[in-house]
Amino acid sequence: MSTTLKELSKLSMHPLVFDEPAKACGFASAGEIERFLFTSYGKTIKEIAPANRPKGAIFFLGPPATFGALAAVPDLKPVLSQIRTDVARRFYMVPIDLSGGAILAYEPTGSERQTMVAGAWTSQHAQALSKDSERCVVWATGVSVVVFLNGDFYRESPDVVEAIPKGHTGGFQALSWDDGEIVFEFAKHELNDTTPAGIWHLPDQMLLRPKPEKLMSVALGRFLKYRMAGYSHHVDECHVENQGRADIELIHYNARIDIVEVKWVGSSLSATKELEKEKSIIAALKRKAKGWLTKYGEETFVAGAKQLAVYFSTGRYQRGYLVVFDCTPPATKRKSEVLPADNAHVAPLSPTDFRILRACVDPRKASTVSKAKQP
Amino acid sequence: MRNRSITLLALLSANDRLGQPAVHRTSLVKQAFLAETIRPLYRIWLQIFPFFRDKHGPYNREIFERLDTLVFNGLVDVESYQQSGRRKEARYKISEAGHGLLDEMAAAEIKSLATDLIWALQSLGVQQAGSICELVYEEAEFARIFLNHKEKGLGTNIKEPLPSVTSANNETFITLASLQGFQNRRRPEPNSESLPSREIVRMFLLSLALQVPSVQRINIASS
Repeated sequence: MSTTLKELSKLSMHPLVFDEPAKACGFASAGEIERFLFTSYGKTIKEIAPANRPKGAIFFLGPPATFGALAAVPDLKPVLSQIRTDVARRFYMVPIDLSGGAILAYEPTGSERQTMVAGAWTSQHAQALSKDSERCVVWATGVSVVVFLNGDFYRESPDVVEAIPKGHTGGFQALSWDDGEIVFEFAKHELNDTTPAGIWHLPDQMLLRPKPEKLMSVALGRFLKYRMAGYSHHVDECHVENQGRADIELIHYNARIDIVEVKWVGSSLSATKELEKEKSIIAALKRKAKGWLTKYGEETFVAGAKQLAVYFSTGRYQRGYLVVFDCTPPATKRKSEVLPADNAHVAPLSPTDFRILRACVDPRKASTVSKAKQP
Repeated sequence: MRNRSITLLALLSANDRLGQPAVHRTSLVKQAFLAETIRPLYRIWLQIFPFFRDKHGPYNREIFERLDTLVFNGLVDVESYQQSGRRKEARYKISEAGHGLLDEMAAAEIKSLATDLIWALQSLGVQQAGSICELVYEEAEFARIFLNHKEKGLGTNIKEPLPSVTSANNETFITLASLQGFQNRRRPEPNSESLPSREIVRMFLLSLALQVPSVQRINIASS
């Protein structure tokens, strides 16, 4: 696949236009800004819980003291936290490499603060600030950023974690696809719903409703629709030519298509016993009666990877994701994680085209979970 | 021949200096491929590594042989190693001795190429082995051969050599030349400062990244 001359011309225009303003702001070249956004800042934002990310915050971006230096995640994390805390009172100058730390650059006046909306600055204010100060100003909200150079609109990225180079910014609630790791948030905050709308039949017994896979898959699709930055649309139970139906086909903002296969491990109630009373179900659980439960264990990972490889082999998808929701009883060693795809399970396809995620679900109340985690 | 080991050392050194963690072996092969692809920008006219189309992408076995030699000589450290079946997972980092040796070498072009390449990959947020593979698969000549094999239904056992970037009518060469030409054309004054080469590398990688979602595999599936 080749790039047209017109596309190449468009590509080369951006750095040319912004080369001089970037140099005027002290950067070696404009690409330094992207490098900070998509490497240092993106990694740091990923480490910060969604609720603690900046919401309409402004900071100045400064050049590094030495070429190539970048702020490390542990160093940048407290700085972003400080920026978030002081969102209405102080704007900091953050050098790309954090040499000398973040320095107080400007304190907005009372009348300026009146332009804030719901405790957040507008991107227009960041632009005006950049124009007045002739500096590089970043407007940060959630995983999105807008960068202004000398008052000019330099870069708008909806998701710095996924390194989406351009597009409209989302709200602070927008989450990064993060190569599939968005499902951890989904498992943690959506699948713990113990109401009749959720996946749990008897949450205290860690017992799922019948056919939970379908419920999980539909809920995940809905979650992506409203929370994912760079979401275009998705198809539930999409038809895969000659192979059957995959769980989710996810189409990103740039027409990239991924396939997501949803599985689970744990116990679910058999569909034929759905109308049984709670007492009978608990009694059946205690005596381990046959025909009441459907159980899936660790073998699900292997079966799921093989199934995903069959769908993926059609050549329609960019990447395959196997999401296994771990609904087994909480244990200290159990944790959400990314597992490597085994060559033997996906052969002759490349394991790098696959990502396997274990997402732990805990239906217990937040107060119980927090106490359990205390030493 | 000497250039091959130096290129690997330079890539590992650039990764280290620009704050990247130990390099995954798949990533290193793909970085070496991209280095081979962009070398005309640095006026390196002799081929460094010849690549051929393997199962999952461009490949050259010699990279690992050279790497083993570098490890054996204490110039590169193996940070982690795991083998499951035929699949090897390893991460490499340049050692102090490796940095020292590279400093002594007069290979300014290769060092600058390696630094610019890693810098440009960082500016695109490409760090995982999977993401760099996606970029590499879009390199024009590789994509053409891959598509050709698919259309003819040829198996992955056919290891067709990829044309050198400096060979006649190489599409990647034309892309690089065009990118460089655009910036020269827009700067008529002789004294005006030109864009640094790393920006052209960034634009080139961006042009590959723009191809990623179009997925030529869609065409195959629908054909």
